[in-house]
Amino acid sequence: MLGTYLGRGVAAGLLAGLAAGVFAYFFGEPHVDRALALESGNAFNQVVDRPTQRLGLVVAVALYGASVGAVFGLTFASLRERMAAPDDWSRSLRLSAALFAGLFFLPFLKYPADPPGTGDPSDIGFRTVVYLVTVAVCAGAVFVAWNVARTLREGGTGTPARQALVGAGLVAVLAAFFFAMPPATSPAGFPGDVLWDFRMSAVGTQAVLWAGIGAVFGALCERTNRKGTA
Amino acid sequence: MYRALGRPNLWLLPALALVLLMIFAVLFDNGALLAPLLGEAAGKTNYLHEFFHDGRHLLGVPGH
Repeated sequence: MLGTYLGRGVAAGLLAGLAAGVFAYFFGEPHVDRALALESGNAFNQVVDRPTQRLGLVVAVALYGASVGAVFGLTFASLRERMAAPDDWSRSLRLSAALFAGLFFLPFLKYPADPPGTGDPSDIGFRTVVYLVTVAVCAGAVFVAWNVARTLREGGTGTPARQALVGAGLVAVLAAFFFAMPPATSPAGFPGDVLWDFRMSAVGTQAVLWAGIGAVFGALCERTNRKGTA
Repeated sequence: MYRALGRPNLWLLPALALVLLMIFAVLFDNGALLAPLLGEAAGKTNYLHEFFHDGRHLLGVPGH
């Protein structure tokens, strides 16, 4: 069964990744191009030309989708029995929303995506470690919050009290964590409109990806379930 | 999870390793993976970084 869920996760991730890659191609690339035009002169070595890099974008998002789809499938398999949602479709959508938040959106609030030409190459290693720690802590915080909510629900705590308590706790923990972590790179002098458009397209790409994974994976589960009961 | 849902899943660890390797190749590699093929040129040409360049920026990992 674990293998079945893993397979569905990879399939959903690849499909959603292709959709997100096409989204990024049309809505993200224009802002990457604007950023590169500003950067001209001190760009990284160009051994790969721009059309190939645009193709590389779609390939990158598709492969990333397949990878996180695998993680999604395994996570779904291990948590399915303990999730409160009434059916696999709802479970799948809720898990994809949780992973979107934990693996991308919450880390993004502290360390947002940056277009080419804003970061200092000399401390890239340090910033990468800091980012990975942030992803691990945010994903862990979402997981712990879900566990606490589950314990409270089983203990009979009412829905408003439970959700308010867990929500406030998550905000407090992440606020303290973000406060303690080193500041994000300042894009000093970089045009604000390009920066905003780029970041919105980055959020959009991840939103398409995770919504796609949740929907495709949920639909695959429901299809099998219907066959099983028919 | 290694023994989740009944029987042991011996393929689980290799599968996870493959997933991590893929994420590393797409998002983080700066020449290390191609070094056995290209030698020292791998760091300078940095093919994976350049090919996945736009994806790395738009997927939100730290860059330059």
